Amino acid sequence: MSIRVQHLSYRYPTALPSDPPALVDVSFTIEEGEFVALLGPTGSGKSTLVQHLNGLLRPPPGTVWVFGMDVGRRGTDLSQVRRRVGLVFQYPEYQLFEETVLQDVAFGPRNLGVQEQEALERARRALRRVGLDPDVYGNRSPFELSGGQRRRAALAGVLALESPVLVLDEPTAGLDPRGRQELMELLRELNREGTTVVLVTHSMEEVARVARRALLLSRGRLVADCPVDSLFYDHGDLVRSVGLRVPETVELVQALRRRGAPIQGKPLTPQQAAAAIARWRLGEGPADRTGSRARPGSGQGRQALGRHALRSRPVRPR
Amino acid sequence: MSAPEPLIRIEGVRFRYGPSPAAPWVLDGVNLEVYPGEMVAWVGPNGSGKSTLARHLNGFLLPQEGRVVVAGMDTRDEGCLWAIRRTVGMVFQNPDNQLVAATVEEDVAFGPENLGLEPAEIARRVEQALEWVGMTPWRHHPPHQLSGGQKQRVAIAGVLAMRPACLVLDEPTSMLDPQGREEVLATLQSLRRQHGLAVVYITHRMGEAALCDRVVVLHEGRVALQGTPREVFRHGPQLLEWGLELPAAAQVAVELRRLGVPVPEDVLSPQELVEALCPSGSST
Repeated sequence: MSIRVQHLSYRYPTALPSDPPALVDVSFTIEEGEFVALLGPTGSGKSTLVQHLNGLLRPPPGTVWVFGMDVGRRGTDLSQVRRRVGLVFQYPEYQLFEETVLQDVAFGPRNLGVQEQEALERARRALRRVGLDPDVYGNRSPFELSGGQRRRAALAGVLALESPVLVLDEPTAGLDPRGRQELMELLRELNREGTTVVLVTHSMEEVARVARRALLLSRGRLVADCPVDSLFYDHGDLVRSVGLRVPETVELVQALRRRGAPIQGKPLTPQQAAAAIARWRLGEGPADRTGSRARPGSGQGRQALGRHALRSRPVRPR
Repeated sequence: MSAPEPLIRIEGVRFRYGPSPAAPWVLDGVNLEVYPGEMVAWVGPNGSGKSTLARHLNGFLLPQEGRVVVAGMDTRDEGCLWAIRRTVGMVFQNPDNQLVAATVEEDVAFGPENLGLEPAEIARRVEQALEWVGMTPWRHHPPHQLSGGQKQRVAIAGVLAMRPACLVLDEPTSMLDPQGREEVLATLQSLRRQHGLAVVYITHRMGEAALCDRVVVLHEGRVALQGTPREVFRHGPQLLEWGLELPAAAQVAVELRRLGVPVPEDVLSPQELVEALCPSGSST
């Protein structure tokens, strides 16, 4: 497994005695190659949790393990942890500081002790990855880039670490629809190539589109750990009760079912919902007419079930 | 019924950043109105000019060609600047950058205090503004203890205390969770309905734009499309080409038609699509 969190609790040292703790007895395991969404309303502990995953906040010993390393143990080399878990903060473009884009992206690997030539090579690869040609943008100042390009350059800075786990805190906030789609597509591609992705987001539509498993936090507690389709279809009341919403697509399918429409599966995206509705209206195989058959809604669920069904049950607060 | 007189008229506005004539026009001939008491969404991809145009509404930026007239005042007329800023209030993305005082109440009082009003008048305005955004119970709280949606409502109250005729909000919900987004939208709708404020709402979320009275699509510094949400979202393929998206129900409807399921072309909400597929009263 890549990440294991066991009974993690945390209070900010600056918290008043009357303030609730930021994290309360959180436990979960993330396997290599997973795509996990970390959900919860503002203040539920998401950002606090992700900062424990690469040692920015030091957990008590024995509570957070990254590839077998006890992050909280004295003597654990945190640079080894950070090589494995790349963390993309909210609004990461505010942290660009080097004179050129290429130098900025190379900073991370260099800082982890990667040799100069190799660091630059990784930086070039990462820039190509996010759609910025290093020959065009590499020598520019980060401040000459547009907002969307700066976001991508900052993301490249973390990709250049080439870490097996990527944790992103609200990476699409403020991007336009196309920018969001491109970023989601990139994450999906990285995940297909084997990168473990943990995505923190307020957008349930994004979760529906890319993630297979969801962890739901509320007031510092983990209240659900289950496949995304199950979270939205079987635990919608829980999702709403913590202040989040299920995607409009799911609401639509459920409203149709309440009127008696026999729609199969748990479609999450508009495309999946349309395919499921079409199967009901037109009989089997309607999508064949277009040649591009949408993936059946149940497909995602089954994928998630493959690895997690037995262990992943919603965890409710005691 | 004759069309009402616009509150704001944007006429042939062109604008570019920097002195170089080689710099591209960010606004390239914008003609647009904002009417009293309407809630209008401005949408468009990054770089389409939305935020630049918004900053023209209160004279923060001035047109290099054309003009912007707010309640009869030309924004290029320096003598009108403060009157214009009282007429058009701005709210931005990040609530944390907008709240400055130790308590909610003091924060909302900041603007009217700067106007040099009588303490009794300031107190009246603060009380009313907090009432309108539903934040009266939190008046003595420090802003940092509030949720994102509450912070934005306080930021809105701070602008309301200046008694504007128009609120301009630049992606006010992009940093909020779903509940915070709903709170802010509901607040804006009630301000428009109950108090007749004009609201210019800049957003990347087409589901939110669909809830407004009117939608304006900006593309490459021009108004590319405007109308009721139903009229605008009928142009699905065009919007997608411009890098925008459709409300979820409209996306499902587009996909259904492609698959050969007949549904109306102008579906906007899940309720409408449900009604089209399973009319109430009939059973399937």
